[in-house]
Amino acid sequence: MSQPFTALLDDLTGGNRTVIDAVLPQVYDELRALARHKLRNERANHTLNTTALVHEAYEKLVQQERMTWQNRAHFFGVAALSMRRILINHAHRRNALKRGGGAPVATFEDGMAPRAVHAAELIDLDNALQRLEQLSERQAKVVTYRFFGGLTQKEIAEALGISVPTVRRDWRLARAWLSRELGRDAASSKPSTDPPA
Amino acid sequence: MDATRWTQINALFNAVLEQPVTTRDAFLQTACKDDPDLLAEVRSLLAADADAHPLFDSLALDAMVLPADLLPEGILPAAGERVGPYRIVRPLGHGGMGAVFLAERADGQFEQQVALKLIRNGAGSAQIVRRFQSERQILARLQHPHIARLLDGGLTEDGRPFFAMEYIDGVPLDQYCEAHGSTIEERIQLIRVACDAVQSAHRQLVVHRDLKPANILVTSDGQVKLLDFGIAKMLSGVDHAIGDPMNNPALTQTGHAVMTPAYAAPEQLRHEPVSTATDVYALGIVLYELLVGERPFDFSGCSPAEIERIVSSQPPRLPSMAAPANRKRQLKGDLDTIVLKALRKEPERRYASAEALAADLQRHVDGRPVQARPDTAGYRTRKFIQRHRAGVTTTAAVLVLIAALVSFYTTQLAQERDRAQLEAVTATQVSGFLQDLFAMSDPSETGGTEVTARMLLDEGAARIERELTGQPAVQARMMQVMGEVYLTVGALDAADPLLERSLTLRRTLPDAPPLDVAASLSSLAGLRYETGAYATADSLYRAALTIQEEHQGPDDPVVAATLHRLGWVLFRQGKFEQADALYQRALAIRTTQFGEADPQTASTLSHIAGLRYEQDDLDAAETLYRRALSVRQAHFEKDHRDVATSLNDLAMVLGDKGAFDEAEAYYREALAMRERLYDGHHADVAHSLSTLAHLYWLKREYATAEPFARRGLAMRIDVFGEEHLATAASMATLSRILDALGDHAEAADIARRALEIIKATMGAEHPYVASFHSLLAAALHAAGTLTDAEHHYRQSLTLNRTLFPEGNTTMIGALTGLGGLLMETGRPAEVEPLLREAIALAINRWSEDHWQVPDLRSRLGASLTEAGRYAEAEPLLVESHATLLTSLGPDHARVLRAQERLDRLYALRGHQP
Repeated sequence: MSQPFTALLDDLTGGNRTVIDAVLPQVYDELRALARHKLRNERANHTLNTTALVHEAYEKLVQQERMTWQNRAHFFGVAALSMRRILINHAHRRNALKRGGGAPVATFEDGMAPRAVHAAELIDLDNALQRLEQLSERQAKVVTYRFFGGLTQKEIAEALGISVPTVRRDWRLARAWLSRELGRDAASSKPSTDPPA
Repeated sequence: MDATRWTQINALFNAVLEQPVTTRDAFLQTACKDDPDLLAEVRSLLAADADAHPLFDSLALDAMVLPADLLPEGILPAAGERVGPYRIVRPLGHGGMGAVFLAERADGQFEQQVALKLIRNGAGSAQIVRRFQSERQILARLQHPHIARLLDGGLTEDGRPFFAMEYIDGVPLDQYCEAHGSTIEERIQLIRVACDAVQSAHRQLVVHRDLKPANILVTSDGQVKLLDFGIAKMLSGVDHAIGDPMNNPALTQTGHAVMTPAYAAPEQLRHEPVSTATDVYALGIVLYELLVGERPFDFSGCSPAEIERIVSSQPPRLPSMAAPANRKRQLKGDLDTIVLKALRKEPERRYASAEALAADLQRHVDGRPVQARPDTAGYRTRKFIQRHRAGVTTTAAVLVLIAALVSFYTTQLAQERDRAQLEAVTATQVSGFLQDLFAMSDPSETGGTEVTARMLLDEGAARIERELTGQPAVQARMMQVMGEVYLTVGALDAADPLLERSLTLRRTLPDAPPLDVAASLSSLAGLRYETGAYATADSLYRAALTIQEEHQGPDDPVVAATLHRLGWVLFRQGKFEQADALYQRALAIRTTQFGEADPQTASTLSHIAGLRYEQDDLDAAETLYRRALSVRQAHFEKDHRDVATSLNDLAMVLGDKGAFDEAEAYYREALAMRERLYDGHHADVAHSLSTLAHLYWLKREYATAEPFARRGLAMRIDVFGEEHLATAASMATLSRILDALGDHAEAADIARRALEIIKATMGAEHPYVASFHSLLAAALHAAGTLTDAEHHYRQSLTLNRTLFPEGNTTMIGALTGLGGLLMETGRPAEVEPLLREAIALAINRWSEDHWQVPDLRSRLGASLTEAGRYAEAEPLLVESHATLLTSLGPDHARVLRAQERLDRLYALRGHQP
């Protein structure tokens, strides 16, 4: 590491682009390494829990350094961006192989019924998020943090330096906009049906 | 759109959401009066807000669980690393089992390049290696010029199994054909060679289990080489041979299979025993793919269960139909027949061996007659009905009918024509019918293929009309079956003439069996019921019943079925006692004929439970629904339409009894099951959504209730249209929720529309009409439209008193509501008889102790206070306050209201006791 990790995190307030670019690869590598380690050492069907993974990566990366309360939230934000990148790469790989089978890419657990998410859905979401970034980078981040990083509204507010009601408003509008976009993607990617013979 | 515009939209979207629901649209229109684009954009976003994508459903996303193969490259060794006695040269690729590397001996013992297959880490590594040791003798015997040899196997340092195989420098079969632009004949030739190699392995009692183009390589000099023979079995779970393999040429093993779903046979996907026929199936898929250019089934986005369902039930499209135009002619006929024989669902009906498949391919190439015969309609129909006996979807029901229809067509007409020729023709028709209809179960295609199915049905109906005029008996039967099919898919207008003519034909035919006439009467009655012509349905069913009783006796299952249906017609008209009598007879017959634990018996039980519910006997309804549920769960064992119905019914009763948590659990289970069964969009899913919304309303979780109610209503309008009882019921639920949320104007609008629908569909003299008057009155009352509200309260009460001279508990709400309204409009003197009637009904419905009773007494006391009758008011107010305090606690709103009423009495009277 060229810079102390916590120092980098401290610079993150307000989403400094260059700093994110410096930190992201570290977090990304650490998450991957952790995931790999777990997959090597645990049972074949073991699944990883993102929130747990992100927390563990955090513990590991900052072990020797004193963390302030704010930059912990920043870390989770960066971890969410990393998880998005990892998952989307994975989804693209899965999608390329999709004729071989259609196992879901991931499963969301929200305390109720788990919901399977398929590669194509995640890729559609990622594309829509990229379009949303053109309109509002912050709203796209709110969704990424919540969706890919499992951050709470309070954590998102801390990471982005905004208020909780703003997070809530951003989430609601972004959710509406993305729902509409995803509806369009689904409609346009429908296979055309042959006329009856 | 740019970011500036987005900021504007953002601000307006948030501002609108801060407005009360009722004024939102007006606010929006004012804000956008010069900017229609902005108006449209924000409206569209508000609509999307109300109907968010299910991805965003979860309110608290705790965790995302990732699959184990998230980072497959993370576990691979690098070039130069040692694996057992081998050194990695470079990766060749990776698949489901793990990664493959080009490797060479590291100990210099031999100069040999091998393909080294490194198995993904997992449980059972030691077992795999043990199996390798026991199998290696057999595998060593597999010496065939077209099979790559297995050389070695063992464990890596970190305990993962690996296999070393003869390295073949070739490309997968499909890529080879593509790159060389191989002709159909050349492709057939390559498959024939593969068949020979497979046959030689089968002679050594080795089944491949994972044949696919990636495992069939072609070298640069055109040699076919099969990879991975014997590997799949070693990687499988616990295996055991069924019977003695030496005496049983079709090797069979069971266990957790290593396979590629796209090439796996139905028995493999079901984890049933695999055999040499399993390899024949995979060769059939490879053949299909080489000839057509794509595989017979597209599994993109499918879950394992969906894949299993498709492979087990969906017939592959004919290769000649699926192929590009320039190949259709070559594939039509023999090659269609050969491919479909290799791909039969039942292993015993495929080619007996890979050799037999190769031989038929050779016959085709030589221009000799092939041995395969087209599938027969009769066989297919029988198997189909067996498979779908416990059919799960409407589509399946339609398919059963279609299959029965075509089978009938075949057997009846065969008398006059060459039977074999006809069977061949009909088989093609059946597979065409079934293919297109199966597509209906694909949610992404529902819109488009409904047309296709309808077009096919119309063509069938036209053909019955055209081709069967000389055979009126056959024609009448076909018209009845076809009419039923239309009825099942909801095409009532198309069913009508067919069922009418079927009945007319049978009545005029001198020798028509009376039971056939009864069947036509019953089918037509079903149609009349669907269109709401209850009186006609009633008399048609009774006519059918008379015939059936006369010819089959009073205790025949046919009679029970008609009694059950007639009971339902009466039930829906509110004639509960008459319906009850019919159901009891049907139940007695079914219990005697089929036993208690029969789904038909359960169906009648469930209807009687529904009657008890309507009659307000919730305990009896609960008991009966639980019995129906347990019979159905035991009978169907897994997800089934009727199990979901029972779960939902039981939840409804529990909700009404106040057992909210148990009710919620059952509703959720029913909703989840229905979403699984119908891919999310169906009348039953709408039903679950609306009933769950109703429960949240009962639980006073109004904000949670609203989205469920809106989704349920939208889905019902979609499925049934506006003018339908079910749509009106969803409207009632939504109206109550909006009322509770304070949006009285929209609540009243919706209730008014629902009342109109109920009157139009049920007639003016139905108990539901009274309930809907009461619903509308409550919404108008809350909105402050008092004259109108009073009118509807009184309409509700008048109709209820006509229909139920003994009184009905649904009147309590209207009586209380009207009482409150009269108080507000300064007419306390008129309130007393209303509330006394409500109190009597409440005591009858619950008991003296139920909190509703003192609450009503407290209201009565208040009305007496306002009428100046202080002496009568005081004991009522004091006692009811005390009772409420005991049962609800000091902070309950009703207790506080009772206290206020008491205070008001003392304030007016001028002194405390």
